[in-house]
Amino acid sequence: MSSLASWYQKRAIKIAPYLFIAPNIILFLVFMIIPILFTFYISFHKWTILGKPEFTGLENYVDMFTDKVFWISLWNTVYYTVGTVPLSMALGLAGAILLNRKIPLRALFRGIFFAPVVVSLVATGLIWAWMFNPNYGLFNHMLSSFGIEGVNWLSSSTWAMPAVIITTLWVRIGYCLVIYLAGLQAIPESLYEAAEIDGANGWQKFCYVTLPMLKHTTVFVLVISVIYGFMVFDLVYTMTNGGPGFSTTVIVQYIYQKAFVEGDMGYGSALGTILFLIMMGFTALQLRLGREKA
Amino acid sequence: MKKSIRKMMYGGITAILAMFMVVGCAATPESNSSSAPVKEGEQKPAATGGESQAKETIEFVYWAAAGGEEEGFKSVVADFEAKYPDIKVNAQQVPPPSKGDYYTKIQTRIAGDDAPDVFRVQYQKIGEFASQEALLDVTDVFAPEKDQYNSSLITAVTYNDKIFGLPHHTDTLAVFYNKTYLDKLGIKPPEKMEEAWTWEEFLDVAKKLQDEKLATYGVAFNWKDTSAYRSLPFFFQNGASLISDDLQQGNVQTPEAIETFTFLQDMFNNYMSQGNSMKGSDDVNLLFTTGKAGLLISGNWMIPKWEEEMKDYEWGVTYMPMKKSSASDLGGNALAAPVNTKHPEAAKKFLAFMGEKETMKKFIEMGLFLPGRTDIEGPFNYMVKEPALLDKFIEQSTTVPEAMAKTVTLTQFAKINQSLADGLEGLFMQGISPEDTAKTLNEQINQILSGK
Repeated sequence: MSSLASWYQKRAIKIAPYLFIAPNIILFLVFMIIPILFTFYISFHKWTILGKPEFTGLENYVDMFTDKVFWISLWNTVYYTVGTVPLSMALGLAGAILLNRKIPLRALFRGIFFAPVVVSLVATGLIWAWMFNPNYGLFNHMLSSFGIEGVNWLSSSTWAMPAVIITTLWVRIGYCLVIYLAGLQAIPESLYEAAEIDGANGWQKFCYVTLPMLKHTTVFVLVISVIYGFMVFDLVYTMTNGGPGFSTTVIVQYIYQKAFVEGDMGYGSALGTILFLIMMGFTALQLRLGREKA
Repeated sequence: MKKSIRKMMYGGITAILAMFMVVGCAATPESNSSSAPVKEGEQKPAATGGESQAKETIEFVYWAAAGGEEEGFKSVVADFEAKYPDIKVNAQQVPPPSKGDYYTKIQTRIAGDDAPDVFRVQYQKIGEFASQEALLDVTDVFAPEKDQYNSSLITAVTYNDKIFGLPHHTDTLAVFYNKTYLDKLGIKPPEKMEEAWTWEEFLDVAKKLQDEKLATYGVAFNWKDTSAYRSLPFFFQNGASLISDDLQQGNVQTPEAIETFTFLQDMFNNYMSQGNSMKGSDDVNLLFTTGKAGLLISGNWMIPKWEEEMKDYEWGVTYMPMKKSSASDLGGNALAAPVNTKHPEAAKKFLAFMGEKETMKKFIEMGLFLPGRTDIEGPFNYMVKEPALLDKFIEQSTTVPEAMAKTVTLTQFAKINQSLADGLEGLFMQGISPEDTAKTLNEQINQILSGK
């Protein structure tokens, strides 16, 4: 014992850091890195979990180019992202500016707006699906009390995606709001005072002080939101299951369907690899934009 | 001096903790792999219980969708343990396939050589498992009594002339109707299978229900993408099929199949809720219990739910509609053992026991199923208020075509089912014509069957 202890003591400075990061690194390796590498490997094979992977070269990737559903799901993912990101950022910023003022119950409102972020997305999806339900739902009931005839939200190729986007906004606005709030609080009061002395009005202060000072926050929120948009699954899965038709089928859901419903792990992995590359592109973009600090 | 001891202690504790965490992580997948926590009061695996080493423990994984099913399994497992005191059954109840990745878990466990010893499996999945040599050959157990079982079900568990599971039970579809509504309309539903509604009569009832403003939707159907195969009876009723008799190619581009698509499209567009499509989010049970839908095509397992929840309306059961002939769905489940079970003999004993007449009778009576055997003498003492309701399902189950058993147990059936679901979704929600639907589906089936 004492020899081991003295051995450790001598090298503690060198070893201890590795011991500290070891649990994290091991988990990260086992549950992230190795699966990612394995996904690359499987994407060149035909495999159904049982049995041995059968090498098929680039076949899965070639199939993808002629797979109509793949392109539809890619388009839907872009539609969803474009529909959610700018709106959630704009509304989040507006909310943040509002809650940055000294209004009564400010802390409570901050909590309320952030609450949807904490709620499980599956629960959110199920609840909103009920609210959109044409037979028993809240929205159509409310619309009808104004004399407007409701739409069949989740069963209409036109309205299903907007319904999912509305639900996403409910969740994401809170997130953007909190990040922007932190950004706003980091802006020194002196800048506003200086602007006031120069005779700037409220709108000018927003355009020439607030927005430029929030640039890095905006880049961060933008990239995170875009990645979030491309990774959407839970909400779509619980609300529309990709339907009607393929009108809300997004790429992660298509991966799930191919790999786990139809058991085609090879094709699912190839789709996953493509998504991975797209995400890499956005991350590289973030790194570049983030570096432009000076 | 004191300081250095303390330092050493902290260092040592950190190191030990780190070790534990690493070990803990490594052990996690193993202890989690049974996917459901062992409930209190249930036997724990021998590894942790360790009360008697001589006892052999087998793990049985199953799901139970309705209440009676769970009781049924628990009861017959207890009977088995009483009969074979040297075998212990570690029964693990997990969420049903419709609510989780049941098959992915089972496949992963088989591939990882950590397979359960016996598991429940739908007939539609047997082919997929058997073709990949993942199931234990149990021909020696069931071949001698083969003729005592429902032949469609035996077909379903047979692959390359070998039997890979116990055809445990079946269930089938029929039509539940809102009796309160039909009484108001003065309609008497057929009481004999030969007099079942024709397709036209069926839609006519739906139309009347809607015209008289009784029900918002004439019809509801318990189908959703993973169970798109529940639409197959309509094809067989019209003499159509998805796949040729030799199972080599698609057979959807026939006038009969196109006529079936036309009928389904007509029924969906005019008499069903838009949310009742393949990917829709409607709760069909709720549509029926709240009187929004007047007719519901669903299975015998729903009876206890109606008895409990249909408070405002009376209800009844009638036969599936028919066209050229009557046909219904091949439902139900088998029990099978993975090829790499560590206890093949005990697993076979368990399967054989579950297939015994008395055991099966007890289970299906509690779970409200139809038996896999044909030699069990009735009457079945089903644990519902009106056991006679089950008679119509039993009669209906005789109309399950053997060709359907062959179709749904094809090794590639998961993909075919998905194509069928996509086809129906397009037919219902995107107005794709029956001809185009048939053409696309046929091409896809041919592609799937050619093994691409």
